[in-house]
Amino acid sequence: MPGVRLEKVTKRFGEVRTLRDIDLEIADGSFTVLVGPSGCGKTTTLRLVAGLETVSSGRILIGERDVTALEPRERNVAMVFQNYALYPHMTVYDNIAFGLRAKKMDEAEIRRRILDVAAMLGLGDLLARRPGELSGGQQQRVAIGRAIVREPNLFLFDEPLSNLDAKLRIGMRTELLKLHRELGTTTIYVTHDQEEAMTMGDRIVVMEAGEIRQTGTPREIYFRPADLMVARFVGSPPMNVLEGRIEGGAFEGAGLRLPLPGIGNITGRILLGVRPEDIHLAGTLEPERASAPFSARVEVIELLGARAIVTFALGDTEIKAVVEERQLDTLGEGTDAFLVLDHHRLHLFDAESGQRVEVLSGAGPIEK
Amino acid sequence: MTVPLLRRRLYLALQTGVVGLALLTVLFPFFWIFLTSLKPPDLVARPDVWTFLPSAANWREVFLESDVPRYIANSFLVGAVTVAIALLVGFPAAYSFSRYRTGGGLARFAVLAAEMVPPAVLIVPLFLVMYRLALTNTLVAVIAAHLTFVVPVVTWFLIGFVDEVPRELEEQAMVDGYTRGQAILRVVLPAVRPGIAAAGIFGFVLSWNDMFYALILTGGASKTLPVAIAGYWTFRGIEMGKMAVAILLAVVPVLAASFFVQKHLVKGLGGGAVKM
Repeated sequence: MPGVRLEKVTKRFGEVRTLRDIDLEIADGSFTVLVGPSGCGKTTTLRLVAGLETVSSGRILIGERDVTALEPRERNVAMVFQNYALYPHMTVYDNIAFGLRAKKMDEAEIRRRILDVAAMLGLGDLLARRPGELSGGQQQRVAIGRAIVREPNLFLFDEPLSNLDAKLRIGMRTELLKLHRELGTTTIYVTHDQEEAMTMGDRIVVMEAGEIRQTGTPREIYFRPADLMVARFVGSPPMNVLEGRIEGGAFEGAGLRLPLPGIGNITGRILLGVRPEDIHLAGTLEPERASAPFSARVEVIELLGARAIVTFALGDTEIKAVVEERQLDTLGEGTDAFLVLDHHRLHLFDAESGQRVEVLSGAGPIEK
Repeated sequence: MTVPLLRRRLYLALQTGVVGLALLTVLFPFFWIFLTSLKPPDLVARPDVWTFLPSAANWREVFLESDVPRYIANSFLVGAVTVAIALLVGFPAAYSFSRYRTGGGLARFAVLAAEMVPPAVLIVPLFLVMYRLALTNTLVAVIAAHLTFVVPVVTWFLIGFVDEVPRELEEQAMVDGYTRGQAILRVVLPAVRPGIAAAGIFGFVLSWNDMFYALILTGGASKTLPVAIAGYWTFRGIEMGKMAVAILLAVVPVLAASFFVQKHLVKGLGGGAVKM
């Protein structure tokens, strides 16, 4: 299976530059997720790969083949749209057969392939129906079936799960991943849902405002976000960011003074990022990882089940922490609590550029 | 009886009354025409006579002894050819307006502008052109005239229907191995079939009902049905009975067609207006 390469790809719509100088390498057989807020250019990128848009400048290669100037039909890719785009006037069987008939394949072979795919996706009983008679989940399967039956070089998914209800969506995620393992076809998957990106991608490309902010594995994206945008976009609840300064090897800000061992000679304005699960009640973290304890007021406790999201007030700043349910009995809304931060999991960002400052990450889980 | 219930009943009675009145206004003329068509020749000019022995004389004469069947065929031919051409031009135009925003919202609206020109403005140049081409008194002239108002209406109609076909359907077909042209023919066209049918029938009715252009551009054997109906107003007086038959023949197909496409008609008329 070939990979995909985008070289210096720029796309303008009139005056608006939707994508600027995108360089992206997608490995053979990978499941790459393009994620970002709406309008970030992820769908445009996908459509460029499909050939539904043409680049303003740059090159697109699928495998070793330069497809920049080719029509969609010449690229041998399959796409699944958010609204599934099933042909309403055709039966499920004809929907799936449609792409094969374009290749003038003989009907016996078409039939064999469709039955295979129908068995794989559990569509056997639906082949004679029309899309209008199917549920959302079934339509989704037909759209996927229509894509895989063609045995394309590349799968392109444009937010395929966002029209499904939450439960079905999580089920379909697993199915899509299983399918990917089985077929091994290179896949590009677009979503605005960071959780979907984290759970599905073996590589994640975070985009914003027509640029790639970071490319990496889910762990890299989560534990070593390249900048503040990525840090805030990935993770739920989002990363807490404290504004302050580094003076004499300690962070000062939000009413705190936290000595940061190993900070080196960095000084000046800084943004300190800490994920909600890296804020702990004092005494619950191994001492060598724990920062100096500080006190904060409990504002709101939102119980999720085994865990709760607790909002603390640090002076004027609010921070959110994820706390185990069994530790909650020591907390009450309106009371004070002592907290520590996990030293090994802190993130520093430049106050001007928002770029990651590499200092504290040395002990993070990436290196382990 | 409680007051709210009384009020509700009064309201219902009022509603029924108003609707009934409207229906009466619309339907009574048809009823009267129908009665007239069945009157024996000596009673035709007596609108005050309501009871009589029905006679088929008028119907027999119109069908067997007049040229009305030929004029019906003429009208039918003009309508069919006009609609065929209008759809051939209108569908691609509508596709272009819908997908490529050709000419922007203004061009889209300008399509309808042709509709707003009074026929009296167009008829003089049309007549002169047809005269020069020696096409007066032919159906070609009528078809050309009818195209001036049927093409815009059909196009406008279809814009709304094409707008409703998700772009992704064609894109899917294009990714699946088809050219844009094939995608339009195999995916968009079937998806707008109800729209095509409604636009076609609506266009046909417009052409079928036209008298103004047909009256001026045709004559003799090339007359259309509305012209023929008017022809019963002769220098010897109005041949009311036969006229009534011809009117019914003109109206019934239109009523039947409208009944079948009424749902799509409403959608089509409003359709082009949305998503400017």
